[in-house]
Amino acid sequence: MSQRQLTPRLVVRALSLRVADAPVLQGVHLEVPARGVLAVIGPAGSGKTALLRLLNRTLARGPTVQVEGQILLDGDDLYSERQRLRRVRQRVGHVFPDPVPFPGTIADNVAYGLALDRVADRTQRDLKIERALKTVGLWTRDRAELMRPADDLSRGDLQLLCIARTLALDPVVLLLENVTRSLDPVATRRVERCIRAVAEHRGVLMLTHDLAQAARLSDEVVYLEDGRVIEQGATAQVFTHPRLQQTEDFLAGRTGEGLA
Amino acid sequence: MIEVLLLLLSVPIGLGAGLYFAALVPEDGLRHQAGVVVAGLSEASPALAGLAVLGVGLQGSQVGALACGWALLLVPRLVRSVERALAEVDPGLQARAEALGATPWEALRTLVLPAAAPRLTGLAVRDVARTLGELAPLLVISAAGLALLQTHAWVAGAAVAWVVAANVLATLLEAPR
Repeated sequence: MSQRQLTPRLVVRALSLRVADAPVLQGVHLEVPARGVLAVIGPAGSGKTALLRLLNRTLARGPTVQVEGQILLDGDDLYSERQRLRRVRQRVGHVFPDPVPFPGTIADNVAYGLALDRVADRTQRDLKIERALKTVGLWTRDRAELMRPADDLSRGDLQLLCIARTLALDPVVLLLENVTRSLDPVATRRVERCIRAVAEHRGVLMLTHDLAQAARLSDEVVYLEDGRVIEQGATAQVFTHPRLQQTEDFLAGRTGEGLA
Repeated sequence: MIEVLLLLLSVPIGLGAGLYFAALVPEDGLRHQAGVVVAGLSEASPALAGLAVLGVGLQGSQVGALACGWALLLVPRLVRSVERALAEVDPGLQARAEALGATPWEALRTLVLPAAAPRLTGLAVRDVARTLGELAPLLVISAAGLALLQTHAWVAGAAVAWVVAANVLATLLEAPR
């Protein structure tokens, strides 16, 4: 195993976010492993989504949004002036909770990001499409199948297609935002198998409200509450022997009790 | 020459301004203010265009009068139609394309506009037809008005005052709150 595979490639240092002077994230430190799944769990409003959207710079910026700290990808600060936004988003892929297909065929969808990058070599482009579709389990040798409208796919397959669309750009890290939220259990299992396959070759940061899913899929867990990292560690350790009472309360479903 | 350009360019100007405001300008104070002006103008009665037709016609340019009335009526309507057509497209398309590295303009050009095109075409054709229909009688009325003006100037003054008052009232009543 090379040193590059062992070293975390995405590192977050002392990341703080304030929106309209209200703290959303406070001094977050975390490392996304070079391979494997890091699950981010926490109650609603804990800052999970804001964290994820900061990582690939899709959070809307404005005069009321203040970001401090560093997000380093292979040592490069993603918020430095010389980082091109397109390149950042290609290197840190992001898949949304609800699958929205682009107009066109299955192949068109997977090729979308490559076309933006002007990958002119047809063979190279087809190879990337094939590799991405194989990883998510949607590949078929039948060309006519790939030329079907993406709208024809089931919801589960659509989410797999959305993952393939991102994988075609060969991101260093894949961010998954509650990607099974709107799927039935069978489709959820397929997407989970896909996530494990993806995590064999790159780091995956996964937000989920499904604690059982986090326990099933992830290698490491970060528990976020009120914008702070409360606890992080190996999944088995956090779920079976959490160090802090706050984490134990959340895992036991006791967080927020007494507020109603 | 300017008048002819105005006639020819009103449609692309209206569509372009609509795209710019609906999809590319951040939702800040400027966009809100522009939205209020466009909403008011797009719902304004043709009397406003009638004033323009009369005013420019007085300067002696019939083509100019036509072009002003045309632009005044059509451009705000097209801006509103673009807004409506884009609002019916899944907003997720834009966000997902940008997450793959597309710029807002690339996302708009490659995904959102093609998805909005059928609805936008229908609305734009309706706007052009409606404007043409409203402009024709205005031209006739303004031609008659011009003839009257040359003999009794006070009639024109009273007519202008009445039209301004009626139009301001109509705009206030029809503008979205």
